Amino acid sequence: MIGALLLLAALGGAAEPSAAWVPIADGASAWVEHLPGDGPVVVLCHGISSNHRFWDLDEAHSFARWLQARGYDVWNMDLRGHGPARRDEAGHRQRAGWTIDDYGQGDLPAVFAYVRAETGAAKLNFVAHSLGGMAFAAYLAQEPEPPIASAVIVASPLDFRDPDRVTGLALRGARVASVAPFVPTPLGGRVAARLQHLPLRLDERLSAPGRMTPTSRRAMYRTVVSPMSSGELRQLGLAARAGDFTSADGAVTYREALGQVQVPMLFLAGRADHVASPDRVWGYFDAVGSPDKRFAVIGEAEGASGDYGHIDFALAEHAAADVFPLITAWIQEHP
Amino acid sequence: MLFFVATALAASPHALVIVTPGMGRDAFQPLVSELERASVQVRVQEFGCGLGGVGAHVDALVAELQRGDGDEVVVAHGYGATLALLAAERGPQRREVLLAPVLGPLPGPLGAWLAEQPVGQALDLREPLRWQGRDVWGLLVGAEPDGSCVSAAAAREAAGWMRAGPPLHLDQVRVPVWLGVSAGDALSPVEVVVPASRALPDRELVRFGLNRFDRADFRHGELLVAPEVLRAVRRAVVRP
Repeated sequence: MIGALLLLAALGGAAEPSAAWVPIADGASAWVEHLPGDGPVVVLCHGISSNHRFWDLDEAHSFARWLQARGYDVWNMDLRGHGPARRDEAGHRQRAGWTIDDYGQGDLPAVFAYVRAETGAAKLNFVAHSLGGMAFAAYLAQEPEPPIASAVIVASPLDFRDPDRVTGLALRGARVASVAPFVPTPLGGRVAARLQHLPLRLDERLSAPGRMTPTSRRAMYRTVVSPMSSGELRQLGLAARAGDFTSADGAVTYREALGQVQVPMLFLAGRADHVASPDRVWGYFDAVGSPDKRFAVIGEAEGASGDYGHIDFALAEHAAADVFPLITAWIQEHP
Repeated sequence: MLFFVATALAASPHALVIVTPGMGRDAFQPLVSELERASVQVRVQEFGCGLGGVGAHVDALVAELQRGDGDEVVVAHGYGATLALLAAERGPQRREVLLAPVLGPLPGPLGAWLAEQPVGQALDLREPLRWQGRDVWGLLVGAEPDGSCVSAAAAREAAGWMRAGPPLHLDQVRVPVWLGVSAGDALSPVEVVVPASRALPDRELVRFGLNRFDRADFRHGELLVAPEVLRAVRRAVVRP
């Protein structure tokens, strides 16, 4: 029935998107693009060094437009310092140095409140990738009864025990890099877009071989990459030392703070994800107290067209067949 | 001269390599050769097709360990590694070096489908098996497996493990356990093995694959042939 209604809504043609800055209590601003629809309200959040274009790369690789075409009311957000939210509404560059806690306890509640006020929806559906899901853990730890009907956490690690070599090196590197206010990764992205392959098989660590086309790869490096702030890097470096994702001051271990969470949550991990290995996402899933939760790996042996890497969930050629229907099925199960 | 040879033999490490029920001995030959090149005295435990259930396999393994000198390192892979952990409480082995043990249910739709498959008089892994038009052994094991057969009773119990996991008491395992896992392994997946293995009191975990600067993520069966994995196993066996 819901599916039929959504289809009817979609037949009317997609309404034009609009965008707005969302003020945050600490004076910063997030940004959100609205792709209107008459169906369930869905807020999308990107990951580290990324922006809203992760969910909306182009016509052929856009979960946001895919949702809107099926009638969903889509709000595709940028955390402060990412995408258009690198500047505030007045055009001033926003100061850097934010932590993941700032995103979870500032940006997410502000955007949720804004979207609820705009739509009148009592509860929202939330889909987050990677660091966006980690910020959601920081949000849930302080908001035990959030206005969230369902959440889908895509490739978000919370458990950093048993580090592999690259993860250990990357997290230690994050500590070192955090001495600068931000890391200008977009510069690196523009260089990467011009190269066929990155050294040290960095492409393979982001996307499983063959999942993305060379054209999508170039577009991703050109448009999706955003700077990394010193605060988020410091907090990730802390995770390396603690073996766990903790608050920026180290006082709260978020896995231990999620036992009271009752939000229905779907967790997706990629069999070929070298940033958020499935066991690290499992640590998040395992920590959440909700009795209504599910964990799924996207891989060939799990029925997908192939093994998925970290950014393949939205950008792979077959994401619309392998991933998107899993997310909408979860949202529809939790009206 | 004979004295020196005898002393050298006594000092070289001993290993008991378990051939996983259902797999052929040839599948383990690269591993055996790697150990022998490092002067490890290797014995190989095979179970054949006629043994009873898992309990009979564990009894046979314990009996074989008791025939040794009590200072052997058990080396095993997959379901064989799970047998080694089931035997760990009773055997006199020094430690265990295990690749991709099965420590919990096989998650996902393929696991559910496999658990429902009927088992006849014996399960023959040389027979092709297809799921959603795909070769199951290729998906799970990777390279063409050197298969053999396994008793129906053991196969049925192993199918039960796919639903509920094996009846392990990892917190009771007293010997040190070295564990090798791979990101690309869908049969002993990291999301099952890594969290479950934290119950082992004395455990060292190595993650093979791209994030260890290996050539690739290895599938379950590829762990038995990848040179970088075999070298790591050899180092784990020969260490004092």
